[in-house]
Amino acid sequence: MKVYFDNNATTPLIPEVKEQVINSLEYYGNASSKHDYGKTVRNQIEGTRSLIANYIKAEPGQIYFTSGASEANNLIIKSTTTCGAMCTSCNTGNQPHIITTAIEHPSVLNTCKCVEGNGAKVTYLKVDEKGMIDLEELKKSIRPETRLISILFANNEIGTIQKIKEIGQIAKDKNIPFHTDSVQVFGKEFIDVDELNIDFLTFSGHKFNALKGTGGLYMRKKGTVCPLIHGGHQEGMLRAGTENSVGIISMGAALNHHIQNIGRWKEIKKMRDSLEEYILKNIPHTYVNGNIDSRLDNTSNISFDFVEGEAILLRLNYYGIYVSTGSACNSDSLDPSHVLIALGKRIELAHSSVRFSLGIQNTWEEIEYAKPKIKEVIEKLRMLSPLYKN
Amino acid sequence: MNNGDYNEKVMDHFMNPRHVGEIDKPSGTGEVGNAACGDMMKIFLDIDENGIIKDAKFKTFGCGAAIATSSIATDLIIGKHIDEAREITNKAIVDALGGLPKQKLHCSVLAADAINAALDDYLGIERKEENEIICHCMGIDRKTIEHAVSHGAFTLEDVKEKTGAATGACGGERCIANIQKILDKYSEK
Repeated sequence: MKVYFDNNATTPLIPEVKEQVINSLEYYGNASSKHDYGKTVRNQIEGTRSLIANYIKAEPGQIYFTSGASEANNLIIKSTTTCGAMCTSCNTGNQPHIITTAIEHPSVLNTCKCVEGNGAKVTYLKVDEKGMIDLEELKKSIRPETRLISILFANNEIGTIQKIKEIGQIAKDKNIPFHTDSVQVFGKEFIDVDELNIDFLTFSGHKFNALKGTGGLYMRKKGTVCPLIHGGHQEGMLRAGTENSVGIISMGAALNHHIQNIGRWKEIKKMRDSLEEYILKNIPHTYVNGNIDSRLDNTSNISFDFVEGEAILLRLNYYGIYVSTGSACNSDSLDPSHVLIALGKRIELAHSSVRFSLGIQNTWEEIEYAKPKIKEVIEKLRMLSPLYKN
Repeated sequence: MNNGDYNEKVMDHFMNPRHVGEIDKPSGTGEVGNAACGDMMKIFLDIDENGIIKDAKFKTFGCGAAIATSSIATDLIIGKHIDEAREITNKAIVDALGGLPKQKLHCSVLAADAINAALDDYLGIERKEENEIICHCMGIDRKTIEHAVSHGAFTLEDVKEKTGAATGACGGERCIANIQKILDKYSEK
């Protein structure tokens, strides 16, 4: 049996999306062409745009397609600090300032590092042991030259969901644009950009069962950012290049599936809870990372004390159970996950962490198959560990 | 099955590690690494009156490579005289496993160091500062670096070229600060 519990990394293409993708391969027209071949593709792209707009309660003209969330995050952060409409205010002599968090996705964190190199100032808000930012600290961090507040909707590693509405209100009160990377939430619950006071929202197709290499952003006000990629008139001059029509069509098909089946996440939450309860009850010295009161329904991040994450991952892989880990040994760097470190726990617990992230394709049968296998793997590795005393 | 960067032999020693456990009343034990860094090994030796290692056992907290290198290291030393066991380098461990990914070479350094620490314990040798591993990726000790520095390696680049330190997978992240301290110490003289 193969059990894929790594859906926060990427998700499988569901059959109906695959079917639409295959059909769309026939439509080779350029969406900018005025003949029927072009128009066929244009209609499909605009259909997806409308569907996405509707899903987040926005207007189609506020949705822009990109190659994914990494590009969209780069676009917003870089253009906020380097050029474009907002940049006129940079001429005040003060360097532009951004507020973000210590637990962002690398596509936000490293882009912030990049603009810091170009002279921007960045505040990285700390989080508590559950991964929540302090709203008072956010308020205190705002400066006259703050150009952007960029805060992850839900963290990909631990699943913690921030108080987006309250953050949006703080930003709105100070008239500062608010960006949220909603990659892990998009497709899992309905989003209302007005209610949440969001000015920029980014999303990625392959995280909700569409193709890789496609994603986009919502932008409340036109002309508030400059393009990263200059060229043709596509995407309202914001993102040049012939549209990735097959990718965009796949997003429409996938999002449509999620909208029709949004209740499925309740069942997935039950599966996640069942798996987590089993682990906590049957394997001692295990700890949940994240905020169990405000968390993605599909994510469970658990530290198994005395054993190392990569060893767990490889042994589970042997049983066909696919997970991820925050251990340093799983990467080329020497440091374990920046997210787990930011929670301020013992560093060993970061090395010992495993993320189980469920998706719409997972079944109860898989959950029941995985439970005893996880227990067995941890018990066997603990027998090897000099840190574990019976 | 996809083994990532590990070959079949490494996977075999990881999935079916040899000589796991502890020895009651060991002749010597060696403990190296620490859990905060992500890997820690403890080796137990049973040595007879002729200096032959009759048995060796290990316990390891760490990744697949840390467990596999511990397993093969114990395999390599059992039945050997302590002097032969001393000769086992991290390279010999890597070779016995048929290779390791570059970013995992430090595990072999740790395993070789664990054997040496256990032998030191048996022989009643206080671990000398000069034997401290400075570059964990390439297995370069303090003695080697001090020798290079005292023989004309005046800069970090010289030390890298002469000893190979700081040229491993971590790019010097672990050791450059310590190498710099050695350079500073000698430049004061």
